[in-house]
Amino acid sequence: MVDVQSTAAELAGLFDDSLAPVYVLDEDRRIIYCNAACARWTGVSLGELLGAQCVFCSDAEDRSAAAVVLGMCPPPKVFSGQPHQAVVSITRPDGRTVHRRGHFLPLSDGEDESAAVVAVLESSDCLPEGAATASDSSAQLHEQLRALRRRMAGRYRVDSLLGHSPTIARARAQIELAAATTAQVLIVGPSGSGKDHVAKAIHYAQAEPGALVPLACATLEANLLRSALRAAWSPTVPGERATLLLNDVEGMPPEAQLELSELLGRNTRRVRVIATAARPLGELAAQDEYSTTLAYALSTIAIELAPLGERLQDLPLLAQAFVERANVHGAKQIGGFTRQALDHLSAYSWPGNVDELADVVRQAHGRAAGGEVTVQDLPKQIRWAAESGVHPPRVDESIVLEDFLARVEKELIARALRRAKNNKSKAAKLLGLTRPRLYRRIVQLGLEQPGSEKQSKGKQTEPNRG
Amino acid sequence: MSKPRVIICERSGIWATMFGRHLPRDVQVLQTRGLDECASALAAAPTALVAVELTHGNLADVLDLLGELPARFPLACVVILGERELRVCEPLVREAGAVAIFASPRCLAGLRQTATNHFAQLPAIHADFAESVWATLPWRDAATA
Repeated sequence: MVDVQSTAAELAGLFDDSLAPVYVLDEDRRIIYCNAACARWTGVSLGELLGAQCVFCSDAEDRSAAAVVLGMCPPPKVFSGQPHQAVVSITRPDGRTVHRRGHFLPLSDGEDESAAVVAVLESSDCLPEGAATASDSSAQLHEQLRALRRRMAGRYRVDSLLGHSPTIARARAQIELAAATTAQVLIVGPSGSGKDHVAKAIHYAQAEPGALVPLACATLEANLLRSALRAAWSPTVPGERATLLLNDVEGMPPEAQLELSELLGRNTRRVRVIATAARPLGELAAQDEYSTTLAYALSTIAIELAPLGERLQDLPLLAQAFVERANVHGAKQIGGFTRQALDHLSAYSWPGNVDELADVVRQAHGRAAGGEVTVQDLPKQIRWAAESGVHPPRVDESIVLEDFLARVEKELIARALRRAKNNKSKAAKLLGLTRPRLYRRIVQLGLEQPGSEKQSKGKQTEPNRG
Repeated sequence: MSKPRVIICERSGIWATMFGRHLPRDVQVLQTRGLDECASALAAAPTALVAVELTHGNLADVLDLLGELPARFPLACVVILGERELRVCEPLVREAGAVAIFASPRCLAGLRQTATNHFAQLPAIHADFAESVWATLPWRDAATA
């Protein structure tokens, strides 16, 4: 008599030891079994895979375990009882996109729908779906382009613009309005305020996005830029619509402005222009710093983005999003910020806006040793701005030079004394001064009363902290 | 502020040789041989101009690198170095975020100005104490240096 349990255990053992990834989905598409090879291939632990639900849809931009699992779902017809072979494509948490041919076998319990699906993947990676051979470059490019656009559409959704402030809420509404038209759009805001993100959100929110052609107008050399502009008006795919994204358009050299004006004058509906700039082009044109015709041609719809300093109520949410993004890219998992760290972030002026915040959070995430980012994990410029009480420059206010210099000197001496634990010899050395000179400045700046040092020497000998 | 840096990721070193003839003297050039090494170099110099050689086999990896840039290294800039037969990939890599594509080591016209423009736009985010105090002084538009 066959010992059913023993046979089942042997079967499970075979799957466990297999080098090929094997997983089983129940009728709700939840993973009820997967082997170690599956965990290795996906880069996701067995604990995270078990119980996760697969859904047959394009993958999102995030690289969480749930997003990886999305790519593991077989086509719906398998659950109707049809065995199927297909390429399983996933983006691992480490960012690599991998592909394996899979064999999906439905297991029926006699009802119409399958009770479970067994998925057995091959032992080595293959080319993406649609790429027949390595030399079939057109098919491979098509697949790459499809995957890229799917990824970008997920990353640049309108709701990816985070914040509750009135300015960002208005920007989201304007994005949806702009996406519903083919009018040229100009996005104005300071450096790092998210102009490129808004532009891409408009493009991917369109009903038929087509190709996106981003050009860095202030970076590209003039002839390279002109050549790229002409290429944008020559479709790679006949009839394909395109969005020309002109970043930092105010930096476009005059000869390229002429080229662009001529191309816009061709009156084709195929190319739609979205431009970004730090200042309204009309202002620049009024100062003879930009082509007037082009300035108004590009500004049919104008969207203004505020500096981060004017929407600080969004800062905690943005900082949290950036720290969670850093968690995806690294092994360390940080939950958020201490209250004091958030206060420090809110006290800073953010001249680099959201991009600077992202960079600061990335640095702080790298330094954080505990479960939260603390004040000590923040970069120096953030800590100094809050701790020294340094205020943003008030350009309209006059200063008294001697008082200002005295304030800076007093702060430096006080810090040196704290670092030296009030040992004036050590503090003098830190400041590059002689001890007598340091003492004279301490008295002149009011940090101590005259004669206080003699009094303290009389009462006790200064401890030797050498 | 650290020296402006160009990171070149290529197999042979031919591109790096030609780059040296076109870039400004004060630019530091770092050569890497693979995308993993390139990513590590970029983490150490997040404002670099990165030049990546595109081959028949690394398109997917190059697209992954371009896709990561806006989130991880928003101040970096990537140019693609490719052979003429890979020009068909130009729309794809440009859509993914590459700033420029150079089809031959002998055709680097525009590289010097592009690099100069990139470095000129970088903000002074990483400041030592002296620079942070200087940044708080009033009448910034009347600064002498």
